[in-house]
Amino acid sequence: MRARAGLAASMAALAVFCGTLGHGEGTEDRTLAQVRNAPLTVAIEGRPATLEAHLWVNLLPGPQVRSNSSVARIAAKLRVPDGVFPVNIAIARLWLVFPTGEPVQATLSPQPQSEGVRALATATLPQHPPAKVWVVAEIKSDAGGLFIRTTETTLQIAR
Amino acid sequence: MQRDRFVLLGVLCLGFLPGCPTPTPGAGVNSTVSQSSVVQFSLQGSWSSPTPSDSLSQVTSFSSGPSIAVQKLTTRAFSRVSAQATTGRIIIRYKDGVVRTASLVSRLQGFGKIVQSVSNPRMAFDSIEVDTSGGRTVEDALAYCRSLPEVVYAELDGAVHILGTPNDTDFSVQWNLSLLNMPNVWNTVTGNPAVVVAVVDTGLYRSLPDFAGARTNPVHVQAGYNAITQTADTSTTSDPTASSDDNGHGTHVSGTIAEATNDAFEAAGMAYGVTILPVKVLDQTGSGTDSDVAAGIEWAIQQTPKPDVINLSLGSTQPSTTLHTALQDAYNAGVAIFAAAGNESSSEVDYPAAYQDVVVSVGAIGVNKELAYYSNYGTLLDVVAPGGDDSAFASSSPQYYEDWIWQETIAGYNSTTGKTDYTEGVFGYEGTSMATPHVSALAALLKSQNASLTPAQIYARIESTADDLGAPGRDTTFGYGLIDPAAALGTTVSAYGQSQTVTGSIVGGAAAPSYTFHASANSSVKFEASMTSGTGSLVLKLYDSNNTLLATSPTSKTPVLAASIGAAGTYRIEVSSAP
Repeated sequence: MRARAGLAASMAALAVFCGTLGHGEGTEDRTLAQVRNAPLTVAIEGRPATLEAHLWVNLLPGPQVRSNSSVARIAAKLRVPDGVFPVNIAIARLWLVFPTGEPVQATLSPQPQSEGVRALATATLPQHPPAKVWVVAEIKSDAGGLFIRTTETTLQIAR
Repeated sequence: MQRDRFVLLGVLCLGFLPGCPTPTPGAGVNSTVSQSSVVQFSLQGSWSSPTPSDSLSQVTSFSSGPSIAVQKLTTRAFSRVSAQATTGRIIIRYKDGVVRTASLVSRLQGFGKIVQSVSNPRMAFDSIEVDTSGGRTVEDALAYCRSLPEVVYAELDGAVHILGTPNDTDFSVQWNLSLLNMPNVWNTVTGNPAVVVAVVDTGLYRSLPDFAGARTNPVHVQAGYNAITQTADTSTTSDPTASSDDNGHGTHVSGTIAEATNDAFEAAGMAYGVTILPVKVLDQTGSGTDSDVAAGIEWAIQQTPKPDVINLSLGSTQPSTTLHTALQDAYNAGVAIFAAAGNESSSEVDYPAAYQDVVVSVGAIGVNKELAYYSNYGTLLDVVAPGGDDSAFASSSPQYYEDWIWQETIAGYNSTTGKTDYTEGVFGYEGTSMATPHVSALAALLKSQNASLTPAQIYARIESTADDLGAPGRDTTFGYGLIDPAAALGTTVSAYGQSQTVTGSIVGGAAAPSYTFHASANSSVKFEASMTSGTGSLVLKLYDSNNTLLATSPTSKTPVLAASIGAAGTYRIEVSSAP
């Protein structure tokens, strides 16, 4: 049976991860507010864009277990209605936001973002992560930065 | 276990139970497409029909708006006869008005016995069972009959079977087996017990009903080994023994290859006639060492009989010379090896899948034939197979559960309690671990069909016959493509199998285009659509003659709907648009 942990993360455990946000206290506060208040849709060159994300724990068994239930992988992708995405767009940062917790910032993969819109990242989860989370992205373009979030996302398990 | 049953019932109800909500004809109207918009599509269908010349027919009674342009592109019937299905008989079709004279009958009887004879105003033919005892061959008889002036044609008289849809109670949720046309393949080959597949994994929990040998068509299990404790099995039918599974993963993988099938119980396996050799190299948590994996492989290839195939649903980002050497030993001993590409959505294929000199790497797709969100890819990816991708459905949808790979296993290791739950059930997993045994099973079927095939020949057959998804030829997303067992095995797809492609348009405000076709009992259907212009996505819906919704595809620009048909009759496939 696929593990579908539904326990809420404790605030104490999540606080450990908050220090990774921003650089100065003022910047951190602003970023936290933007992450928490990120909209579901943003306009890019006059077109509505949405964020899609897959979040999973890799339980492929093997000689060296590289990931376990405390590390999640994230594939995030921006979508626009006609599927043609403007150039010079990139996902700059990603966060996981738990139902009752603080945002946990993910580490973006060094792999290039395919088509300029798909980013891979990893994030450290609480010991027993909740099954439902939101993914928030900061996207950067020539016009500046924007925050956008997904709808509620279910944590998957890939074996 | 109870929870699993409820999940399964939900899926079944969605697709097949008569008590499910029935859509009204008006439900097919494309309300999501604006009045002025047009979406153009191509729809390719494959189905089995009792009518040899059956075709997709557009349903006009559902149209309430502007006309829908439909162009019929191609229609062809699959070959009815495979090399394995020949009967030693030939059919001789006579020209209209030909009278079978005593001379003609005598000459024909010189080749054998006339076992079937038909004469009516539409056609006249005989079937002759060729007597080869005197050195004459079926080909001799064909050549002679084709030379006769009374004859229109002479052809092999193929064997036709009832399609092989098994009666396993959870088969309807095994979309992966329908997608690979296994019910049709099973008409010809289900696996030879002499062919052995070593599942190098967490072991096998053989006390489960579908593995214990008590079922109809019982699973064949060879005594295995625990490379961690370096002990051999003392039982092939009960637990605990050395290679008993205390995780659940290895049993699930083994089930995809050879779970007891057509026994009216739970799930089916793809090559259910072959023998499983369980080799436990991973512990309760699914962890292990390169040395244990290598030791397990070295042990396996020294057994009698030795395995023909090794399945490695495991991986690591780190290479190991020891493991690579063990795999080379196995390959040189005549063993075909298949390994999971990895689940990190990375362009780097894991080890041992990356050992391209001896191993075929396997990535995963979902029901929509798109690379699964987790699957690794890249230049070292060889083929893809169904591994599940539940991202094809919203988590709130009952169909969300449909895109996993379902097999009998135990509930397995619980990381919270640190204990193993041995509760039996049909469990849904997804991963390249689940994709890999599909390819191993295909290799085992190939070996069952021709025991002399070498690993290199097996690899070439699987890769060259794969359904070439993505860019033409080998590409970094799908490798050579999705494995195609029917093509690899050269089996008959079905009696009177039909394949047809139509193009059409969805006009805003108009009814969704629908096409009817006639399907045989206990058969499989598969429809694949592709949006050729317009915005949004497509959805395929399959209805029976009572307009009961049987199955729905994911929403996609290239949706695929694969389903099993129970009763013979008229069915309808609808193409609609979605935002």
